[in-house]
Amino acid sequence: MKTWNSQGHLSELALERWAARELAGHQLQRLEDHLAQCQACEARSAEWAGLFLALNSLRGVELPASFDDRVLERVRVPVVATAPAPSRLPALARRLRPLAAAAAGLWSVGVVGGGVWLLSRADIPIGLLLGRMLGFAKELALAGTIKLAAAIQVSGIFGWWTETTGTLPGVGLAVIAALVTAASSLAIWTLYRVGFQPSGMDQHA
Amino acid sequence: MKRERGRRPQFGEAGAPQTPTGLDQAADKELVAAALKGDESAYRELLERFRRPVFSLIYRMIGDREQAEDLAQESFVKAFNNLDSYNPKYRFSSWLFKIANNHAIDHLRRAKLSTVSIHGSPHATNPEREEETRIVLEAKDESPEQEIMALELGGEIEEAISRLRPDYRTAVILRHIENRPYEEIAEIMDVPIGTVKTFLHRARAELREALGHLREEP
Repeated sequence: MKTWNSQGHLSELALERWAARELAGHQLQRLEDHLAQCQACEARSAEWAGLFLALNSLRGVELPASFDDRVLERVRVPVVATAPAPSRLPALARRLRPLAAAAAGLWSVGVVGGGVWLLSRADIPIGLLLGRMLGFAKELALAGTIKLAAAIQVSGIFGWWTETTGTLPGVGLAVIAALVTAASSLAIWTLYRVGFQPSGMDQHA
Repeated sequence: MKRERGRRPQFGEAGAPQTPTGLDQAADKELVAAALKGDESAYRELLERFRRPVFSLIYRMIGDREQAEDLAQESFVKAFNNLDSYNPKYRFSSWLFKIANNHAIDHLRRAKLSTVSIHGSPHATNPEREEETRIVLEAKDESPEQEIMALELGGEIEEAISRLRPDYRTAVILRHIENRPYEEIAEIMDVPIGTVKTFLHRARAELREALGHLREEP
């Protein structure tokens, strides 16, 4: 910045910066020292100071309260889709999902198709057939239960069970019941997620 | 984050999400981010912050209250409906002022005006219309005598500002009325900082000259 003019007085730019309070330190000190001694520069500095006073006294202009509503009526508020919750289904289960669906489909087709085929071949009344099927199912369930009990007996699980419930009667039962409940809940939940979870997770609002 | 391409709900409609609290403490950029997520109260807070400075800029640039209101409204609507094009690298206020200033300059070009009158619109067809469109000066809390002097000086300086060329006028309004730093004025006017300083220096020299008759009085 050029501080002095050719006559040895303060330049207009220097006085303007002084009035704008943009000078500091040594520069400011030199300028104010000169102003204290020079009436011509002092008079010009008063003009600049008056101009800045007038400029800085100007204020913003208010608007009627209805302005905001008039603007907002014309503004389109963005609608942002809620981010889908991350799936907690294990990666392996997710990969098995199509396989499970295919297996369920094949199973359904096989059972229904087989039933229809059997009916057409055997020429047996449906009530009788269902009764026979129920009888076979009962026999199968009974045989399965007996074989399962024998397997448990042979494996020693029953002994472990007796020992556990014998040593820790109340707590042991409660622990076993909790484990069985948790395991079966987990199994049901996994089957549900594998077999029935809809795949359209990336839909947006 | 995806934005729906179709029609978006207007303010007050169902579907426009509402309102975290404490927005009055948030930075402008945070408000913009909240607005982009559909937060209606963020728009209101931005309006609350910038309504007056944007209107003041346009009003002093064009000198017609009614048209200034329309242009300020247009500026806000344009800014709010294009918030996704705002670059957070810059100040939000710079972006908004730039839109408002461009609206005002375009208006002056269309009307083929470079200066304005604080006494009312040059297009006023009758005294009532002139009264409606004139710039109203307001004194601050001062004694009656100081108030008269301030209004007189205020009137003189407003008149002198209205006669500056538009780019000088923009620089003076942003610097002295809105207290914006040189860097921001440069962003708003899309010129280097040195040019802003030159504009201000020349504008102040013109204003000082224009107010010269006041100092000749005893």
